[in-house]
Amino acid sequence: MSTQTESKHESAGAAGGFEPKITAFVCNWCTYAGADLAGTSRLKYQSNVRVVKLPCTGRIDPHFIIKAFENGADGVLVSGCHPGDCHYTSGNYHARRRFTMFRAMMEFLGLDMDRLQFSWVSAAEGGKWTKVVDDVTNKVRNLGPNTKYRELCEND
Amino acid sequence: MTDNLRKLARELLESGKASVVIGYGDATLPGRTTPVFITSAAEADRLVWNEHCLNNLAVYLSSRKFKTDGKIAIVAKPCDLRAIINLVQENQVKREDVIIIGMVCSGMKDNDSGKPLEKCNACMEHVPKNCDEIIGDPASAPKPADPNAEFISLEKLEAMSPDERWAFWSKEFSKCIRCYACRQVCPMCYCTQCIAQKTQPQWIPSSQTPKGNFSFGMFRALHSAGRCVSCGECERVCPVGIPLNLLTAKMRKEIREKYGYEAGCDPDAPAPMCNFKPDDKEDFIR
Repeated sequence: MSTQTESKHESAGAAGGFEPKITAFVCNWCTYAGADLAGTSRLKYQSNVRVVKLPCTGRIDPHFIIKAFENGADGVLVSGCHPGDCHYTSGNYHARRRFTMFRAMMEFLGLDMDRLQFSWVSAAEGGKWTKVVDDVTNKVRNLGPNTKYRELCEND
Repeated sequence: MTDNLRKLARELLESGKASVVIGYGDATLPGRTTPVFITSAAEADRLVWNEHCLNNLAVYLSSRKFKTDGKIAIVAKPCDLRAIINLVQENQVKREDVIIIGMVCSGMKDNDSGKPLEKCNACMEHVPKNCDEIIGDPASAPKPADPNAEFISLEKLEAMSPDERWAFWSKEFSKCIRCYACRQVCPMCYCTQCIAQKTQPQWIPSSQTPKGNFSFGMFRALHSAGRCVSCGECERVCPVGIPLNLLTAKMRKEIREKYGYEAGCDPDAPAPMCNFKPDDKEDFIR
């Protein structure tokens, strides 16, 4: 993971405007393959997203998401197989409950909920992947830099 | 009730049914109590029962904190009893190894102010369930409070804007001195190695920085989701007065609304965070 200083440098963007940094945690079997399909189909989407591949959404601990925010992510996208399609049968069902609670906690603590997006993208949904990424990127760009977490991490 | 309790403790120890009775005894300061471990019938008179029996004694049941050869008899308020049931559910203690002495409880009072505790005003069960012995008259117990009474304190925060909430929690967490009293006193926090002290990788910064404090506060409540029995000990022991119960109450509210579950009420119920239903709500997922 890159450091905060780096992210500040990068967030300036080519035209001088703010370019958000999005971390995407995706599952190996569906969303990663979906993103791959988007690539091989030559579909265009915004390049702000950094993809981290994991075996399953069930492997994604809320700690990963917090670490991404702490290390300078302006938004986080979590994506995996549709319910019923999990390669490990039930990983995404468990993840769904975990994210429900995590999201409620983050909302209660005061994070802007547009910075945290969950989605199901299958291996056949290259088009959906591009839409989800564009949508999250636009939303976070409108919100601006994640100042709440930047301030929190300033003294470290 | 104190007399009945002492009598029962004496019987249990004399007959060898229990090797220890965990209960409350008088503390050095008048009007306060402290946990006591009674191992002989002659000592049974040290046990007391009054409005200052605040500690949740279930914390001594998790294996890393207490070990004995015979059965453990434990004095439990109805709220503490839910913690014991939850420990049984999570295989931390065998139900048959514990003799639960349930106390009919009409509420505890704060040591300093003498006022009833907030959690006692919102208490739904004054009469213990799932116990082996009952001390006190169930008919004398106060009426249960409204089930949503414990969530009233959340309304003020929920009505705030995200920025206001963030400012509120930043200020509260900035007080944290990372003494981990909230963790040590929690009957559900029994991991032999806490993630807050892992260093490779270090998920939660261990020094008292805003980042580390925020992360610790958040994950403490998140790890107790679906397991917290609302005994309120974390907030009571916090030396700097962080309203920790707001976080755990939020998690309890979500668990109740989304999955219809109350921790520590039914030893056979499936734990909500280890189970799922294919049709669980997912209105936030695209």
